[in-house]
Amino acid sequence: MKTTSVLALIAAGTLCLRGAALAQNSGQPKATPSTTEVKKDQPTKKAPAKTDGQAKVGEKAPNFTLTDTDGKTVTLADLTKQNKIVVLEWFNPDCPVVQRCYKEGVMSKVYDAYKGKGNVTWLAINSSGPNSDSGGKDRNVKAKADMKLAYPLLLDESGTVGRAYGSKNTPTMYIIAADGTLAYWGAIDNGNAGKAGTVNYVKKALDEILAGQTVTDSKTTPYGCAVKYATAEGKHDGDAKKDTEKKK
Amino acid sequence: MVAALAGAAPSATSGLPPPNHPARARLVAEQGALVPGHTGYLGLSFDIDPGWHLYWHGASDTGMPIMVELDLPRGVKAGPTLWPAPMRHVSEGDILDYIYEKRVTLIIPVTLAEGTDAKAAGKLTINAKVSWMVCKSLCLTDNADLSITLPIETDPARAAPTADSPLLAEARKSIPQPPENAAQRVKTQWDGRILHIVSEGAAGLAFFPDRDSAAMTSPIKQGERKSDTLSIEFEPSALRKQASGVLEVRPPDGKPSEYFTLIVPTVGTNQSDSRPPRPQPRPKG
Repeated sequence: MKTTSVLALIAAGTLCLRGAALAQNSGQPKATPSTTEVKKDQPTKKAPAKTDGQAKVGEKAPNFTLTDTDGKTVTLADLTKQNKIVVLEWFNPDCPVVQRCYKEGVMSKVYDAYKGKGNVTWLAINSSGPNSDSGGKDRNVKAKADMKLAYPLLLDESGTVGRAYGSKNTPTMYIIAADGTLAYWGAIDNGNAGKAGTVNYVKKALDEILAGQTVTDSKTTPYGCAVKYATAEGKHDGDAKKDTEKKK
Repeated sequence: MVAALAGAAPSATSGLPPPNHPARARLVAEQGALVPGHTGYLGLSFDIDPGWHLYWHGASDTGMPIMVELDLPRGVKAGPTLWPAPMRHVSEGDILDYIYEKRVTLIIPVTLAEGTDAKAAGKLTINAKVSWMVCKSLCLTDNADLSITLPIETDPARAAPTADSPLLAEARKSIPQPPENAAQRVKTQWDGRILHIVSEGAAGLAFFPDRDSAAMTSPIKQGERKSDTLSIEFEPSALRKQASGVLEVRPPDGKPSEYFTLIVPTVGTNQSDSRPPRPQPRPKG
């Protein structure tokens, strides 16, 4: 008979809704969850696409240009031109699953093992909206220092890059081969939100890529917290719109 | 017979203020005693603050299902946990999760071995380690070590309902009925790529896929419809498995929904199979 302890705090999910789509598809009465935070549905505006297409394993990875927490600009195509293998890690400093991975060194062990090898470049990307607790430059400058990220942390506040890559969870991992092809999309390992796995998929895929082999597990199911994308109004948290459909 | 929950101070590694516990768990019993040779039911019941949600065990895009690890005394066996049907929750970025709001009670069947000596066994304590992720615009992981102690009654009539039994009664309303019950209310047609589900006269249908079900191509668009027909396309790459999950049938006139476990074999039934044509589903309405 004891107890609870909250392990971590995280910002997770975006609670906003894709109101328009749901309304059309379901025809259900609007959900009215009993919370004062819920506002009426509004259609969600899509951010203008600045990338080229949607990510798909085996095809050219969508290019992007983002700015990191130091104000430096990073363009994927520039890295590919230098024959770099690029690892993308979707990040949210407030997600308990991301926090667990950092606490256990799940990312850093792989990063440290490959940072000097075969031109591997590692980038973290945070697609939290500008007004979410986990978004914004200040929060992420602090997070990079607190959580000791040894690689650049790029800010994708519009969510354009996250959407182009179809990233829904933090963490979600991608590997872009030196020829610019998306070689891996999925989880960091075969664990779950509560527990690290025994097979690190990113390590396995990097080994295969560096050995000139085909990636065996090129698409796995990511687990973690919902990416906290900006809503149409760019608001989150207490102002988040939410589309929860009621059944009864 | 009680259960417990304590609240250690949450610790946070971020710059955010530590929250309280947005979801609180209790372990309860439907009846006040265990009876040798009989199955009783425990409830793992959560009270969830407004705006927050927990996760069903099925194929959500994100989050973590409620996790329960039981520590059972000698002579007690637990059956598979019964999960009430969830709600669909769609958020920015085409994220679809299957969630619970406000309150949810998972039901755990427990059977006490026949011939258990009530006097020798005394009272029995069942422990449960429970962990969960609870999210609003912020996610937390939380856990509790719960326990419940029950006496043994050899006379089933003396194992009376507890004050918590309504929680289990409420949960049972949305615990899916077995597949054979679905056969009476629901017709399914698998055409090699698309599963057509028809429940004549229904006002709406929704399908909540299991975690290991064949994957739907457009779960946000195709998982729910205000109609008595639901057509769901599945990923060709996922058809090594079967399509499985929970079907919600919403009757007209706002009556409570019915829920069925749905299992549709898809293995070896791809488009190239030559099969006799089957009846078409009713026109989509």
